[in-house]
Amino acid sequence: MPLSAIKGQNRVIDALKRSITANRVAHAYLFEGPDGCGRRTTALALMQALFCKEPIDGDACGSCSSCRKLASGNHPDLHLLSPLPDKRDISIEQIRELQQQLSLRPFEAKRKACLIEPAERMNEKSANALLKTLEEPPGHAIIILLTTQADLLLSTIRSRCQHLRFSPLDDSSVVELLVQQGMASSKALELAPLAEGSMERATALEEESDAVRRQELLALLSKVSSKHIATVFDVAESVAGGREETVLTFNLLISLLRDLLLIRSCGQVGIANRFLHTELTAEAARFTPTGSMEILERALEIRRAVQGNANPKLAMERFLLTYDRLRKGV
Amino acid sequence: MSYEVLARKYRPQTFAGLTGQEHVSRTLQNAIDTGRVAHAFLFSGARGVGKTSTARILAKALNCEQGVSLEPCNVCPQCKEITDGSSTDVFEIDGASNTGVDDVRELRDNSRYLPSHSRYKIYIIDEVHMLSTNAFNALLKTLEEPPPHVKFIFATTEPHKLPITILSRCQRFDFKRVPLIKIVGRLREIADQEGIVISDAALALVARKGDGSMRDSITCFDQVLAFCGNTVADEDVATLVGVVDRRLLAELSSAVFAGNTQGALEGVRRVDAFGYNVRQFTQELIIHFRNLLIIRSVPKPGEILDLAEAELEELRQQAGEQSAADIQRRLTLLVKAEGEMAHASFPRLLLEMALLKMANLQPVLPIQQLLDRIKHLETGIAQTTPELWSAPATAQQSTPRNIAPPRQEAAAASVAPAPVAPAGGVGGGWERFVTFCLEQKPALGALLEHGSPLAYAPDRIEIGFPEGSYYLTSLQDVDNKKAVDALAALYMHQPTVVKVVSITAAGDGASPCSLAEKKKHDEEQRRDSIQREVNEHPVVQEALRVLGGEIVEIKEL
Repeated sequence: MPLSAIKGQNRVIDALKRSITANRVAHAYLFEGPDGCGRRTTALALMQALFCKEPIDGDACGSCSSCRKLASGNHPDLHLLSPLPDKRDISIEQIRELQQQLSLRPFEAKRKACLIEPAERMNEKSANALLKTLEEPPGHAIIILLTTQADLLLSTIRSRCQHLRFSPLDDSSVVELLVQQGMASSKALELAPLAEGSMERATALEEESDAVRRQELLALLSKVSSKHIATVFDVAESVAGGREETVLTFNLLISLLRDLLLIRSCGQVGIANRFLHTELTAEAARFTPTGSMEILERALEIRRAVQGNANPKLAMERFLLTYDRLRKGV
Repeated sequence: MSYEVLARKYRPQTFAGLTGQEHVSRTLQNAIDTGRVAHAFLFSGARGVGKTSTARILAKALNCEQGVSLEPCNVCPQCKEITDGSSTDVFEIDGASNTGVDDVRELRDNSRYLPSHSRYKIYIIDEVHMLSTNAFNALLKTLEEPPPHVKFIFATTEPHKLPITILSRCQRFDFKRVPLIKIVGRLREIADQEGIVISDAALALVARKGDGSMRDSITCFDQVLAFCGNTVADEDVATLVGVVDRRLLAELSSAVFAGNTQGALEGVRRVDAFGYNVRQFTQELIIHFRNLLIIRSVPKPGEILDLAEAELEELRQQAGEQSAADIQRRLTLLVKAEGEMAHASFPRLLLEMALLKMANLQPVLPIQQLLDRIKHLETGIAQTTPELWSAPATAQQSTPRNIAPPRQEAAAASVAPAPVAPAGGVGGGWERFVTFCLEQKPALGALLEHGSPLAYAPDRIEIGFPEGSYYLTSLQDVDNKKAVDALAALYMHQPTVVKVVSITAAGDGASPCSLAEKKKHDEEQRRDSIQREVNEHPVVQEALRVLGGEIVEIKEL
């Protein structure tokens, strides 16, 4: 995909296109932005533009062999670096292998390219091992790091890259992209606000599992009561799953709780789960404003605990008990 | 050929070119001048202040074909090779990639051989803090007494991670953060050489973004150039660098002060829409609130804040009537939220929550004002005390009277249905008899407590027990019977007939109640009356009214 075809990131695309025409493309970029806002697509588009055999105005043609290879992800000079399937971090061995690869001559293109995603998964050792390469890559290779939070990277890494920040997609871009993917425009309009600027989420929403799940969760929440203590444990049993799954559940819960807080403190403006708004209003009425704030804080705290090493089911039980306690305003 | 970023293109190649590290370059030059060059150096300091550059310059100065000189010539093959990184005698080693003890052993073995065509064999180990403990220790002996043709230069951002034994063997140079003015000067030089038109204000913005790091500033400058081309407009720089619009900050703070939650959240939405980094924005907001705080708490804020008079006036208006304490509490909330953002995945949510809390914060009262109020309350209480406390006194006096009648009523009520027993007489005598028995034989007395006195006269006592009860069978036991007879005789001072009979359930109502039942009944009566007394007590009622509570439990002390 050529750079000009990327939607909703005009500021970034503009900057990149200008640097291509001015021949000022840096050798290291840091793309920061939320998931699903087009960082990866942009990174690949930039590489296509740099590798393209018949560039049009500095942008990729999209049809030459190099562009097609990059698009299908099998260009021999493109190195993708992600944590190995069974590992949490990008290991120092992977970085060493990359360094070795980059020191070789490129096969087809003028230079080699490397995409590290997610860059914050480099642990201290591997990040440090990358520093020298990142500052002066051999053979003018281009290295692009993708991250959701640049703050998580070493300051020494950040200082070696050109830092481009991607904003979440606005709703109209999400709608446009969804329609492009063949969704009915009415449905796209409905889903766009829920996606919170992420195409990834929008695609997940398409299967409706997400919306249904939110509705279920809200229904379960309103049902929980410590008067019938069994309900708490039943719900926790049914909702909690593995660590990753529970964190995702907490993300949804946090989204719901944020809406409760907003309804409680300043009316209906800006709530994300608009399709649930009657249920949300009913639930919000059972909270005091401070209670709705506190439960959100607790939820964030418990979510962090689950991300750590807390038992997901216990965490969920604790959350539900807190939820019930705060709801009564005690 | 592909573009070389400015940070690399303008990497200083001479000691004179080093910006902001004069203390290092002068010391090194003097050392070279006097021939007192140490064999091991450690360069430490923040990122992008010139550690690696200095290491290379030093290597060149030592190996330059022009002889060991104050400045490398940068034209001889030796210098050029070092600049290219292709010198055979200057080894620039990535300490973070070659961390193991084996790498160090290899280095140590090679260091024994003479340099191939230079004066010195120079090992530059960058990011040296990543070496393993074993690697460090393997290096110690060589580092202390290397062959005369070997020099070591270590560079690191984290010198505290090095073992103390390494530190003590090196000459250490701490690189300072580069002052803003010097960064601006360097950026100006680069701009002139590149033929770029840019204002000083814009350069200052870029330089500030670098936060004391030359490389950060130049990287940022590069980014600005990539976007703007050769003529740079100030507004473009502001957007690119991500300088937050002052108006947005002002709107947010006034929304917060006004308790306008809606306005605060609208502000966050705009921050997100602009593509600002939420955390960075929060930091700006913190600085903004700090300025407000200073305005409110210092007589001459102009001396502390580096702002124009117009801006000061604007801030003064925003601070309005807010007390310093109120601003400070809000600032604390923001700072806390900012800290949490570092390891949370919902920066926007955290900012929203912080702003809501800040908007909903109730103003605090100065302690002195509170103390005054308490004092005022105290004097008020002192005046009202007599009447408030006189009430319970009268209540207490009346207590016996209040309680007595119900007790008598209760006794009457319970005894009344017993036709056989003239309540007062039988009840009173019987009660004394049971008390006497309790003193003499507690076990027996306890049994008797459960009996109903059907008849009580000096010569004849008839006690009824519920049919089939434990007490009945116990007292019908021969030994107990004898004991009761003896006690009765002792009490009455005459032989007395004690008869134990069973009362059928049906006839229950006809018999006088036993002492145990009576006790229980009395207790209930007493509790009722205490509760009534407490509820009606003026002090309690006043407390309930003031504090808005309710009585859950009454405890006797």
